[in-house]
Amino acid sequence: MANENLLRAETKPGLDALGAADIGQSVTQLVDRAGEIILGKEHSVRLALACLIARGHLLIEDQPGVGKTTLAHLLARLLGLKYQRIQFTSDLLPADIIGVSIYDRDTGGFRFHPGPIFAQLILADEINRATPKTQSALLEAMEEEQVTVDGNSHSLDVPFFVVATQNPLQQIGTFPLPESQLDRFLMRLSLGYPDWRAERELLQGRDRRDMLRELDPAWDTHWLTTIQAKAREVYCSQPLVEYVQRILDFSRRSALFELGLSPRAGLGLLAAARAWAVMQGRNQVMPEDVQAVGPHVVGHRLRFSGGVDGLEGRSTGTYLFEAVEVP
Amino acid sequence: MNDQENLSRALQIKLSLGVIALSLPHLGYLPISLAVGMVLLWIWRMGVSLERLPAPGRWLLLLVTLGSCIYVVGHYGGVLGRDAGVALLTLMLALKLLEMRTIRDGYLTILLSFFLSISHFLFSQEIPVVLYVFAVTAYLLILLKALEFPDPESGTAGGLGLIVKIVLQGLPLVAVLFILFPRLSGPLWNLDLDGSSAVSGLDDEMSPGRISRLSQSDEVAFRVEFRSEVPATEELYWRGPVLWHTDGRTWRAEPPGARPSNGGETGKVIAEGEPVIYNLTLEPHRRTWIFALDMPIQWDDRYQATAEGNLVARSKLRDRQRYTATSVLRYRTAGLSGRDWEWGTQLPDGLSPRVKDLAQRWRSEAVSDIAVAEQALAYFRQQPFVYTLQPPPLGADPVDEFLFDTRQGFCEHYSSAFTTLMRAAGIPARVVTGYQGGERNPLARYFIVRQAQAHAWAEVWLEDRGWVRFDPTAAVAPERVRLSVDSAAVGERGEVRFRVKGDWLRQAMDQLGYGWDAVSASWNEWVLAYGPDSQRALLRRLGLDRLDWAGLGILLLVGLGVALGLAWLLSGRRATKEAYPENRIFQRFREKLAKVGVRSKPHEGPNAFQRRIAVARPDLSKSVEPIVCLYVQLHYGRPINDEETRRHLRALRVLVNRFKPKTSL
Repeated sequence: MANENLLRAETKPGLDALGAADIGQSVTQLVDRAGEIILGKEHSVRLALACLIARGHLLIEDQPGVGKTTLAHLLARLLGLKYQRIQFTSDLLPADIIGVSIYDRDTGGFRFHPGPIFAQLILADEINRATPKTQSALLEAMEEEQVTVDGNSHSLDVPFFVVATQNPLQQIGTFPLPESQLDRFLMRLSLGYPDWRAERELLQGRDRRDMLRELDPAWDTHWLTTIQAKAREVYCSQPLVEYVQRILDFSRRSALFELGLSPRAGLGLLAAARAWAVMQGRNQVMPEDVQAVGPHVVGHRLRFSGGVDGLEGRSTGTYLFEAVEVP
Repeated sequence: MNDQENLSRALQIKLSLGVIALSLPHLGYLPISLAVGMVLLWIWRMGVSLERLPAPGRWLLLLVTLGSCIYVVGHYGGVLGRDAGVALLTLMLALKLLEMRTIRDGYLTILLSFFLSISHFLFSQEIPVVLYVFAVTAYLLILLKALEFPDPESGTAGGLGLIVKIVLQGLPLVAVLFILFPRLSGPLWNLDLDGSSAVSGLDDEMSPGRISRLSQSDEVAFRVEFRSEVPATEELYWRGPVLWHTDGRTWRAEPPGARPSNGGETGKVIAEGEPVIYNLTLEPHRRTWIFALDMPIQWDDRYQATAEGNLVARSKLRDRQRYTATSVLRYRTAGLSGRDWEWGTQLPDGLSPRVKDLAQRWRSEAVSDIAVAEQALAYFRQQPFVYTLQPPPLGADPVDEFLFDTRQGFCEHYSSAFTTLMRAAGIPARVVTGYQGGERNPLARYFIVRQAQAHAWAEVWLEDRGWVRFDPTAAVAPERVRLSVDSAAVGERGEVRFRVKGDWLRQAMDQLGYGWDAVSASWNEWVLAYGPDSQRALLRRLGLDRLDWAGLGILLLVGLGVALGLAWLLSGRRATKEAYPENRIFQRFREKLAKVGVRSKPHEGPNAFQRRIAVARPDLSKSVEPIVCLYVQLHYGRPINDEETRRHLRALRVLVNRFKPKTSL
């Protein structure tokens, strides 16, 4: 498959010749096609795509049945990624994810049978149902981009992208991810119910699963890695870095938040903003890019400390970005 | 922020507490019925906030308001004057609290409270009051800030920081205004500020019990700072009213029906000792006389001397007086006028024969007048006389009863009896009242003379020496003139105790008291007493004498300018100097747009701003676009080279200069 991608790459314009505007166009096309299947969620799709371009992992926190799985599957189809779904349950073991070494009578040695994690886009469904041990196995794999079984390291596929879902309700018998683990996810999204018109269309339209199956990839792996590389080159000016620093600083000094943002959060914020900028077809990051992705990047990393009036119904993310002045 | 929005419950409660705290000191000045009504209103207000009581309806509130207005007018006979005005203000504020609902109400309440906070100084200007009012005002300022910026970010503590900062910025302005604003002479607004409160102090009458009552008061009568060597405590006789006329019980300055005395000729004082120079700060006592060390020879022009060598002011003292005087402790007075002779030998009608006989016996035994006086002092010393604050009551002939029966008394008994005896012996004598002694404040360089040190003694005319002081009390209780009467420790049966070093607790309390007195003395001297004279003196010390009003005005303006500059420096505006040149230009662009009603938000990026302009003012978008585009390139774009950057900056400047948005229709 890798060879195939390399072959295809020659038909695409080279990295240097690739204009930001081309990427913007390509993203728009992709999002449009996604919009045929997931109705009225263009912004969420864009954010998920930005997360992927920034080479981060995505946490979707929402109620069952709003299209979390569909979104993950759809992204995998459109981007031409190898898709695996792992349903997390309380009896799921790390080996069920990573794979096991089994004695092979023919060779007389242990042979590694890779688990479902050896795919490019993994949907970790209801991650909070599994035990912390299993959760951390996945999270370690996410961080290292490799797994170690019996002393042998096995590299994971590139790109490697985890979409984990979490049900915020019905927390009985679950193991909610602690903050330190949440920090591993670049973004947290919640999809929410579709609006009136979108839902009408959904109810009247065809089965989404059929549509997904028929969907052709819009991008391929090479194109995705190209864009990812391009995103890393997007320019962040001094004032912009200062802006991000102000955000971090504010979150740490403010008495409103329990714990300030980590340097990793700052890096994530910049990476996501770069991805967002490249998706808009821009070569430089604007404060607006930071603000577009920001609430989703910081939302799960910040928590209001108790005893503060007047914040009901506001998320930490939106509050933070309204409070910090753009330099 | 919309003024009509509802005030949060927490703010309502905080505001109410602030106003209540501010009104609290006034309760004491209000008639009891109003005070009770006010407390009931506050309880109602708190009940409403805590959802325990129903909010008053519009009509009920109107009724209560009208009723209380009528009550105030009825009670004070109008709304003019300090007491009625303050009562009305306090009451209206309590009522305003009851109808407080919106943010606008909150603003109004706080602004009215500031009036109320000033009104406290109409009653008292002492440090505790000032501190209390300042503290409550600071709290109200924090609430004002919370109203203005409903930002949960900074709780009360953050608000305090801002208020402290603002107050610090304002401080130079206040200092300049305080020092340089032209001072008017006369009491504040010519109001009779202390009109209602009784002032304790010496009277120009003396009868048994008067001074002993005074001696239980710890109030400060005056403070003295010696500029020359400090005399011994037993030499400190502070001269007050001289009493000539007695009816046997009461001593008065003049016989009833005497012509308003202009003193005859002033008794000439011949100094025989070293002069003592001192500054005296006299608390206002609403009488004309001022005190000076026995015997003053030089004093301020503001005061005149009487025939008896006392100093008097031209009008009753309503302000704290601060003056310098020079006295001599050893002196002779010359000349006894006919009036003095006549008044100095006056005896009460029906003086008992026992007294007369005693005096005549001494007269016949003694060789000279002074021997008679010595004999009298010896009599007090040798007979079982007791110095006490609570002597038994005296009947129809107090001098007689005191001398022969009760033999218990305070200084007024002794001086009265002694003077009467002298007169009965044919020697001119008079009673002098004033203060004796003074406690040194160990933490500062001055003496405190309290009401407790009020005293009365006698003066006897001796042919070769003039009026000579005799203190019969000292004969009975010599420690009286060496130590001060301890007002806090009157014995059970009224025996007098003196200030001596007590246990460590007492000493600590004394130290605390002295520290406090030193602070309030400086407060009096430097803040409250800062009038036209001290202003002139201060300016002279700064080398700015002979300033007329215009000069003072110019100086004031210059000072204000400097203070404003200082405030600006303190505000830290300089610290936010733009690090990016394009921001300075873009800021002008923002300001131009703000003038036509399109304001950028601090957290808004340039592109988002541009989109908002396009919506609000589509007519401007054409001229806005290149400016934003250039700015974005400069601020967020990858720099090409310095030359290019400079060119872009120039272009941006030109574009912004040309940008002249018109107000939309």
